[in-house]
Amino acid sequence: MVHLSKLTPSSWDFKTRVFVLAVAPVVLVAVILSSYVASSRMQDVEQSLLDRGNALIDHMARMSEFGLFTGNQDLLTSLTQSALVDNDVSKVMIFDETHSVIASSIRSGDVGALSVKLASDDERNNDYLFIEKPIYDSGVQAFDFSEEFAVPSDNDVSRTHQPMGWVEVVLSSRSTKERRKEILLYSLLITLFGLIVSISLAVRISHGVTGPVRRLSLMERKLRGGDFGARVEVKSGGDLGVLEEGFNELARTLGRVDYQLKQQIKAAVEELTKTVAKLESQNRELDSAKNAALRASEAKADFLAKMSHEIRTPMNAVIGFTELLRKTKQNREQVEYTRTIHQSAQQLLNVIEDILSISKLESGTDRVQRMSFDVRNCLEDVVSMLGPTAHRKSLELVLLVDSDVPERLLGDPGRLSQVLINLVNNAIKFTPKGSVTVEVSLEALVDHVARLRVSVMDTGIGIAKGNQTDLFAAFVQADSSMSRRFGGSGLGLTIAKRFVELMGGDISFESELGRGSTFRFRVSCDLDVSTEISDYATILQHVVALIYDGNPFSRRAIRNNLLLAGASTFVSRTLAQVPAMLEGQDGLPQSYNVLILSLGASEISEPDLEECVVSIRRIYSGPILILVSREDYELSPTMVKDGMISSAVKPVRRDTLYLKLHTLSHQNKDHTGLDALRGGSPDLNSNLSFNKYHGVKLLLVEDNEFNRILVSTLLTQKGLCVELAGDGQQAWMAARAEKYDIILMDIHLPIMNGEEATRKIRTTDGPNRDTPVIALTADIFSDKQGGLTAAGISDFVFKPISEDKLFEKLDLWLWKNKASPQRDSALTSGLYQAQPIQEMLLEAEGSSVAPPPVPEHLLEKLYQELPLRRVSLADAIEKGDFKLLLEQAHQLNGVAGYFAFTDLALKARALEKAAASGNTREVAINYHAVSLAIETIVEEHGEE
Amino acid sequence: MLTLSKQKQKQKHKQLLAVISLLLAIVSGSVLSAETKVLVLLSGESDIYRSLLLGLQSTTAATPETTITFVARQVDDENAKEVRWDNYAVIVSVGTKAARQLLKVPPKTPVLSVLVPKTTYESLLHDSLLHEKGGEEKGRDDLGPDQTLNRFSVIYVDQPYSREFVLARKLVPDLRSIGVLLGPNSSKNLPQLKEEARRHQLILNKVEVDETRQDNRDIRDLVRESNVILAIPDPVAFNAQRAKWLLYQAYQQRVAVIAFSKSYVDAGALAAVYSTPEQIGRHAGEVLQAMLRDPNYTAHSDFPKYFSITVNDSVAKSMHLQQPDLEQLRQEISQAELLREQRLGHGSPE
Repeated sequence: MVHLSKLTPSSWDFKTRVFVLAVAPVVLVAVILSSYVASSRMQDVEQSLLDRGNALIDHMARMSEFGLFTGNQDLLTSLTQSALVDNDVSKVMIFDETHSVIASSIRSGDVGALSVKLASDDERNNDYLFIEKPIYDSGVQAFDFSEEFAVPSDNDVSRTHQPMGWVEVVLSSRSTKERRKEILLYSLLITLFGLIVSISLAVRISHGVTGPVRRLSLMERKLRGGDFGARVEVKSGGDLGVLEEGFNELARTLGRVDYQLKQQIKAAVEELTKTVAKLESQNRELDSAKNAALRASEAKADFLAKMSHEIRTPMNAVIGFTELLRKTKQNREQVEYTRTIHQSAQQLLNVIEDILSISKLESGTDRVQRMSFDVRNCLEDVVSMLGPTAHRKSLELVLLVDSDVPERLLGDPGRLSQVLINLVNNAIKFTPKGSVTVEVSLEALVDHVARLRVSVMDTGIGIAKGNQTDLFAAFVQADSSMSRRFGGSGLGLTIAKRFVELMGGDISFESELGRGSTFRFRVSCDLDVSTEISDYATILQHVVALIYDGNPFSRRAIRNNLLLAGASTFVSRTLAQVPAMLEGQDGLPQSYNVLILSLGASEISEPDLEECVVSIRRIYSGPILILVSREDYELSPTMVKDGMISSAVKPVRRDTLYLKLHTLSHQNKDHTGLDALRGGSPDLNSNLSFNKYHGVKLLLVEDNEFNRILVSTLLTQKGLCVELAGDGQQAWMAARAEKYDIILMDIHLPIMNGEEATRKIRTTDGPNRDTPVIALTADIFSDKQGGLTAAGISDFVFKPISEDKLFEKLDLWLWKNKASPQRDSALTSGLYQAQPIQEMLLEAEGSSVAPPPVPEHLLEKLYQELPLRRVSLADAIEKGDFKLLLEQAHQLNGVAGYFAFTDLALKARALEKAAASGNTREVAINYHAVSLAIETIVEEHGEE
Repeated sequence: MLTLSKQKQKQKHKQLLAVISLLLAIVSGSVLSAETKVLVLLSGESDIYRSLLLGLQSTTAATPETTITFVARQVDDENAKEVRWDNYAVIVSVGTKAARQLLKVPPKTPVLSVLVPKTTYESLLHDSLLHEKGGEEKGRDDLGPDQTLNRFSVIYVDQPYSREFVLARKLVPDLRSIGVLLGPNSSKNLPQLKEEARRHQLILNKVEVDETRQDNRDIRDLVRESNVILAIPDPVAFNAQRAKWLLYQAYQQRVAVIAFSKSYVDAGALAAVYSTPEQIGRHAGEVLQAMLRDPNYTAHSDFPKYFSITVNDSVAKSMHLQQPDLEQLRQEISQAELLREQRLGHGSPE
C-alpha cells in the first residue's frame, strides 16, 4: 500500500528524489530520441523504397521509349528483366498506348505479385507498392523555323503529348516491413539497454549519495536519542566522506562533553547535597539556638517580671514601712537613717523600673500609639510635672514653644512625654544651677506631616568629649563616679533614645564640659486636621502687657504666648527697670494694662517682692500677675487684699496664663481695655458672670472617700453647694429630704447601688423626681443594656473624672431648660481632650489659684492615699484579679490626672490597659512603673 | 520549263506595271516622294521576325538615297485589317502566316514575302491565283493573274538542294549514294533532287513517308543503303520522332546526315547549310531597295542569297571526319552557285 502523499513530489524522501533526478531526464531523452530515430528511420526506409521505385520507373520509362517506338519486344523484356535485379521489385510491366501488355517480368516465387490488381499511381496494396508512369516520345527538333514548317491541319502537337505507353512497377513492401520491424526492435533494444544502464547507474549513484545521508540521518537520530556511542561507517569518498568523519567527530565530542557535563553535574549535585545537609544541620542548630534564645528571652522576661514582683513587693513594704516609720517620732539620726533607707529603696525601684522598660523595649512588645493630642498640653504637662523638681534645685524650667508649632498632632503623646520626662529629668539631675530650657520648634511641615524638634538645654556640668560616645548605651553614665554622685540606673537616655526611634525620629546631643548639654530629638507626626482647633488670636486682643523676666528663654516663652493671643507686649530685662517703664520714662506709652513679673527661683525674697509690689503700686494701679518658681508660694495678705494681683507657678501653662490674664483684666473695672474686651466678646461677657454656679445645690453620691473629696473640692471651688452621700441609701434619703439642682451618682455603691438609688429617686414622689442625675462610672459599657438610662440616669461622666468633662455635663444639665450659652454637642472625654478656651474661661471664674487647684489638705490626703493605692494594686495583681486591678488603675489614673501627676496618670493608664489585655507581663511591668511614679511623688512630698 | 515561261510572263508584267505606275504618278503628282512608306507585316512576335526586321532596316539604312519609313504590323493585330495597302509603296510579309494573309486577298501594292518555305509559298500562290480567277469572274479585279504574279516577290526560307549536295560532297569524300526522306510536300521536288544527284553522279535513294505510316524499318533500310542522308525540309517527314529516329539510325550505322537547319545539327546531324534571320533580312533589304528603285521591277523568287554552314564537331569526330574550314567551304559553295548561274544564264534561252 503506497500512501497517497508519497505520490506527490513534495513528499518524496531524499532517496526517491535523487533517483528521480538521475533517471527521469535519461528516460525522457531516451524515449524521445529513440522514438524520433525509429520513426524517421522507418520513414526513410519507406521513402527510400518509394525513391528507388520512382528512380526505377523513370529509368524504365526512358529505356522503354525506344523499344516501344520500334516495337522491339525483346528489348523491352530484357529491360523488365533487368529491373528485377532490385530485390524489392516484384513485377515490372510495360504497356503500349492501348494498355495492352507489351512486356512483363515477375519475380519467380512471388506468388502474391501475380494476383495483384493494377491500381492507380502510388497506391499501396497491403504488401505491395504500385508505381506507374507514362512513356512519352521525346523526339528532336529538326527545324530552325519550325513555325513556318508547321502543318496547319496537323495534329502533331497533340500526338506528341499522348503517352506512347506505360510502365508499371510493383514493389514488394515486405522487406520494408521487415526492415521497419527490425528498426523498431533495435530501437527498443537500444533504448532498453540505455535505460537499464542509466537506471543501474542512477541507482548506484543515488545509493552513493542517499546511503551515506541515510546513515548520517540514522546516526543523528541516535545522537538525538542520547546514544553518543553511535558511529557512522566511513565508506564514501569526497565531501560525503568528510561529512561522515565530521559526524563521527561530532559524536565523539558530544559524547565527551556529555560525559564531562554528567560528571560535573554529579559532582555539583554531590556538593550541593553536602551543602544542603550542612545547611540543614546548621538550620537545625540555628533553630535550636533560636529556640534556646527565645526560651532564654522568655525566661529573662519571666525572670524580670518575677524578679520585679519579688523585689518590688518587699521593696514596697520597705518603702511603706519606712514612710510609716518617718511619721513616728524619731530623733535626728533616726530621721536621717529612715530618709536614706527610703531614698535607697526608691532608687532601687527606679533602677528596676528602668530595667523593665528596657527589657520591654528590647522584647519589642512596645508599640507606638497614634492618637490625636494637644501638643502644648502634652509638653506643658511634662514641664509642669517636673517644675517642682527643678524648683527644689532652684533651677528655672522653661518651655518655649514656637508659635508655628501645630496645635494638634496625631501621635503617641505618652511616649513623647516619657522621652521628654527622661531628658528633662536628666537635665535637672546634672544641672546644679541655672536653667533647663525645653525649646520646641517646627522643623518642617510637608504634606500634613510636621517634624518637631525638641531641644532640652541645660546649664549643667556637661559631658566630657571622651564620654560622649556611649551615652545612649544602656547602663552607661558619663562617668562611673556620676552614678555615685547622681544616682540613677543610667537607663534614662537609652529609654529616651529607644522611644524616639520607636516613633521614627532621631536623637542627638551636644555638650561642653562645664557649660551644659543640649539634647535634641526630632519626631515626625501627622497633622490632625479633623479636630477643630481653638482660635486664640483675639483672646487678649486689647491686652498691653509689660513683661519682666530675668531669663531670656522664659521671657520669650511668655511673650510668645501673649503675642499668639493677640496681646501687645513690652519687656523689661531687669526688675529695677520696671517702675521706670511703667512711668513711661523710657519714652514708651504708659498704656500697659497688665504687668507680668516673672521671677526666677530664689531671685527675690518674699518680703522684697512685697516691697517691690508696693512700690509699683504707687505708679501703677493695673493688674499684676506674679509668676514664681515655687509651688508653695502664696500671695501675702496685702497683695490678696489688693485684689488686682494674682500669681502662678512657673513654668506657666499657656491656658493658665490666658485665664489669669483674663481674670485680672476682668477685675480691672476701671480699665477701658478690658471693657473693650468685654464689649468685643458679648458671648464671653454674658457667660463670664461671676459665680455662675453660685447657689447651685448638688448632691454628690460617692463611696470612695478620696473621690468624694476630689470631686467635692472641684465643685465647691466653682461655688457650688455640695452635699455628700456615701452610699445609695444615704443618697436616696438626702434626695427625699431636700431639692437639689443636680445629682452626681456613682453607680458602684455599697448598700444600694447608684442604679437602684436613681430609680428610687425617680419613682418616688419627691423633690428630686425630675432632677438631672449624672452617673459617675468607670465602666464605659455600664449602660450597654440601657438599664441605667431606664432607671433614670440622665447622663454619664466617666471616671477618671475630668474636670472639664464634669463641668461640661453640669453646664449641659443645669441650663438645659434655659437659654444655654453652651454648645449642645456632647464632647467625648479624654485625658488630652481639647479644651475650648471659652470653657476654660468659665472654669476660671470661681478660682483664682490654678493649677492644680488642689488644697493642701487634699494633697496631703493624696500622699497618704497613693501608697495605699499601690498596695491595693499589688494585692489585685497577687490575687490575679485583673478586673479589680483594672478598676484600681482606672481610679488611680483619674486621681493622678486630677492632681496633674502626668507621669503617674500615664503609667496608671498603661497599667489599666495592661489589665484589660490580661497580659501578666505587661501588668507586671506597668505596675512597677506606676509604683515607681507613686514612690517618686510620695518621696518628693516627703522631701519638702 | 515552267520557270522560263514564268520569267517571260514576269517581264511582261513588269513592263505593264511600270507603265501603270508612271501613269499613276503623273496623275497623283508625285510618284517618288522623299518619304517612302513600307508596311512590314509580321506573322507574330517571335524574335526571329524581329531579327529579320532589324536586318532589313540596317540594310536599307546603309543606302541613304531614299528615306524608307517602315510601319510594322502583326497579322493578328486588329488594326492590320483596316490598313490601307494603297498608302504603302511596298508591303513586306514576314513568315508564312503573313504571306498567307496577304495572298488571300492580294493587294495592288508590290509585295515581298520572306521566310516562307518554297513548297508552301507555291501552294499559297496557286490558291491565290485561283482566287483571282474567281474574282475576275465577279468583275472585281481588272488585273490579270500575270500582273498579280508580277507584284509578288519572294525569298524562300529553304536552301537550294545544290548547296546540301555540294556540302555533302565536300564533307564526305567517297560519297556514292545519297538518301532522302520525302514527305507529302517534299516529294514534289523529287525531279530536282534527281537532277542534282545526276549532276553529282550520285545514287539517290528515297523513302516517302506520310503521317500515318509506320516506316521505321524503311528508314533504317534507307540509312543502311546510303552514304549520306540529305534532310529535305518537310514537316511531315521530319517530325520530331522521325527526325530522332533518323538520327538514331544514322548514328548506329555511321551515316552522315546533312541538314537544312542549325537545330538539327545541334540535335545530332553532321552538318547543315542554313540562313540566319539577319542574313535573310539583309537579302530582303537589297530586294526591297531594288523594288523601290525600279518601278518596273520584276518579281523574283529567290533562295536566300546569304547562308551559313555549321558542323557538329562531336559527330564529325565520332565519324572520323576532318574538321573543314567552314568559311572556305561557304565560299566554295557560293562560287559553285555563281558558276552554275552563269552557266545557266548562258545556257538559258532569253
